[in-house]
Amino acid sequence: MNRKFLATIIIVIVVLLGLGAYLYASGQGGNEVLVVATTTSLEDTGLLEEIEAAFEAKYPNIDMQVISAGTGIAIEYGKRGDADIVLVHDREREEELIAEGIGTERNPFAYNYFYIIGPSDDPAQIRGMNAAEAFIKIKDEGEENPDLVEFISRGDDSGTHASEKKIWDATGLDYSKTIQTGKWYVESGKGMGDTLMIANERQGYTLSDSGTFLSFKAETQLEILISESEELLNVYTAIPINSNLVPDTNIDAADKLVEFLLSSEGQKIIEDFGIEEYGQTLFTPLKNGPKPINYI
Amino acid sequence: MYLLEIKDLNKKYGNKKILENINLKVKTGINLGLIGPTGCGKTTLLRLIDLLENPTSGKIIFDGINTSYSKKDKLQIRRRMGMVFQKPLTFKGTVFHNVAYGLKIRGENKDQVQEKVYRNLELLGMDEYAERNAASLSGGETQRMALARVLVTEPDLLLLDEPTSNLDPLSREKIEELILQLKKENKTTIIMTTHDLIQGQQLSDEIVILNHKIFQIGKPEEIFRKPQNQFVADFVGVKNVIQGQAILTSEKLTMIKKGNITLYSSEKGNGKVFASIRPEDISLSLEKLDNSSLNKLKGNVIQIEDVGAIIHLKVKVDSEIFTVYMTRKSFLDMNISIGETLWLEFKATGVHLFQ
Amino acid sequence: MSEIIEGIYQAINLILTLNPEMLEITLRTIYISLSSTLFATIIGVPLGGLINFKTFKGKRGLVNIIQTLYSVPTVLVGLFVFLLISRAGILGELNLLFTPTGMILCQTILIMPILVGFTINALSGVEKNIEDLAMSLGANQFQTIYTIMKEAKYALMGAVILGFGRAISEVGVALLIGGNIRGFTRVITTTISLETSRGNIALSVALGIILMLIALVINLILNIIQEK
Repeated sequence: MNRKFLATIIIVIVVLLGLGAYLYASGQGGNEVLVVATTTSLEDTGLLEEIEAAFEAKYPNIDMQVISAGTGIAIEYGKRGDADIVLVHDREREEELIAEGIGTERNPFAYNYFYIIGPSDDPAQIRGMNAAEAFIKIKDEGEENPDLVEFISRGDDSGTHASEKKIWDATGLDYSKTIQTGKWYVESGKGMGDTLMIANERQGYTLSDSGTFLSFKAETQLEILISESEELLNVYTAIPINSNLVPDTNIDAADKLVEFLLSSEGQKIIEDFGIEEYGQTLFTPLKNGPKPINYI
Repeated sequence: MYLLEIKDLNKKYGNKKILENINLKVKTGINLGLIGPTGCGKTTLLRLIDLLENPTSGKIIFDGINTSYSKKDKLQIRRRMGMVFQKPLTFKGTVFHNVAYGLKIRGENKDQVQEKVYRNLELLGMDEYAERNAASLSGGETQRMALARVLVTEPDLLLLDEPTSNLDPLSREKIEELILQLKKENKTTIIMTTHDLIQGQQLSDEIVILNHKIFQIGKPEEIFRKPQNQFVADFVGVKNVIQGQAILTSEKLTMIKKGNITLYSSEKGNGKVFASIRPEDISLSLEKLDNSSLNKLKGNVIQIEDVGAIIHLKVKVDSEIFTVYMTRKSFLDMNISIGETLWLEFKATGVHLFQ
Repeated sequence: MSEIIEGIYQAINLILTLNPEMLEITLRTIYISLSSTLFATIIGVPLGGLINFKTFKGKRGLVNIIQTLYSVPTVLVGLFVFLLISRAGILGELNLLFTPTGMILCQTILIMPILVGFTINALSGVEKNIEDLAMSLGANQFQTIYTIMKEAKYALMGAVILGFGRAISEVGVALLIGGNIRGFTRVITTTISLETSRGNIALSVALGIILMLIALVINLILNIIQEK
């Protein structure tokens, strides 16, 4: 019995070793690893998978590894030297990163607009307004009638949440005093997908990036109420991590990725992405495409 | 000569003294019965002998080796002993696995293990149980298996803790048979605890009466006939104990006085003594008879207890109460009732004296 | 509810077609969770035994702490290990972050308290007198401990199965330490998380079903080993 038991354990160990060796061998495409920390919206839409495939085809020596997280943690990965490049969408924090010398430079490579999403009957009647007006209207109606009008916020310090706060700032209202304390204001603390599901359940309003909403649209009874407004501009930027300041990062490969994203090949992938699946583009390339309104 | 010697052994749990000043020598090949009331320290003494616990003070010498030394020595000595616990546990698995345990850990080869296990199971009438799940056995079967489990290791010293208490008659018989057989073979030394006096008497060569201390060591008949003290007398169920003043009247006769009662004993005694008379040695009559019995006492029947073929009578003589047995037939012939005056007669040789 | 039915259909489809990416993710999931269970068992069971058999000051307190750690949030363990193996951390040199090895390390730490604690429980559940019985029959110290472990084997196997269950169903650590890198550290739970945020609900359900099937098969195998 003991011998049988021992034999079983040895077999398990051998199988695991073999499995591990196989998985490692198949996982390491190239001998050079490029760790890309990205905001969830780029990964969730599937855009990065296409970019990864094309990039690795072009540079077979580089194994591009994508880690998707909120903008906050993605930047943290960069600061700690765990990522070689970050792809994010929060202008203020990006500029901080550059100012600290951790990021080499901001390379905007695509943009789209956030959508203000809500139930199709639009109880606060915001359709046709600009973003700031709409937010004020939602707040007023919400305070009046919190059972009918709610706003679901990410509340997770993500890039989307940062953009939402920027819009509240534009309304002139005090975010932490007036908005966050409101009974009508719900913070999900979750990712975009979950937040959309919550908004759907509660029939509330929310702010979403276009890609995530389009992939979720079929699952919900929510509609895009406001799609193009200056405040809703959402710019994606690639920032290589400074190898002089953060040791051991692969700046060469990071620069190659930036170059690729801004190349006509990369920009074409961005431009075409989504037509097949959603019937419309999700991102607008920034290098050669039309400049968005109020883009600096 | 002595397989086991215990010297000045003491055992305390906290402040509670479990065993006090135990001195005992056990000859090779004998059956020693350890008898005492519940909680008297019997089990603790066995556990100390089996080296499962350490004494608070004192020595245990096994086959000339002082056991208080190294762990390795202890293991070697423990492997020459075997203990059957009062509530035997089973290892998970078959009866075979249980019985083979002691041999396997001694590293014996497979064929030998197989042969010994089956031989010992057969000895206890359990050879057909080998492949059964040990947990499914009855209490008696488990006890027999536990005995087989110890016997396979062929111990020099076998320790049995209440081996037959609460068992079915068949299992009890098998185990008693086996102990008697081992006794006959004279190879294995056995120390057995019991609270059953009859069993102790039947199975033992020597008996120790224990109640935290040793009260008496002796052959069974000595213990029953001649308890050395009140505790043993009470414990072995000696009736009719009278405390009195003894005067040696001649070479062969002692006179004991207690109040108006005078007894004669053929044993020697002086000063304050206990005298005991076994109930079966006392005969009863309605009239004072003229015979050779030196002791003739008159008393009144105060209690009649019918226990089947034998009637137990309590007879008050002066301030003492005597227990007397008589057959149902003579009880009916004599037509005894409560308050009746009777004569108690017994010989001087029937009066046992102890301090 | 239609997502669930569609999920079942997709699960069957994924299994029948032996989807290569799915197969790879499945193998990786098994590799990582089984490896961490193995390491946690190799370290945790003897450690639990040591704690159970030794008497020392503060033993009760230690056992309480271990039991409290059963409910430590996985994200907290993940964060702790992240700070340790991140390039800026003490073990940064080893480059373990975002690797399967890092995930195994972290999950091993995560389920260690379960194995240690349940080993202590399992062993203390064995009748105290079994120790005396084994010793009395001539077992040395090592043999005695081995015997007690064998008496407790059902409970010990329960601990292993529980640890494995926690490892394979875990997602916080897998995301934070593994990074959900496609073709390298992506496991079933992180794929479910990703596919859910992509809105592929039915696919997530399908993956969930496959995860349950793996857990079922592994538990069956462990049970067969246990019966021996």
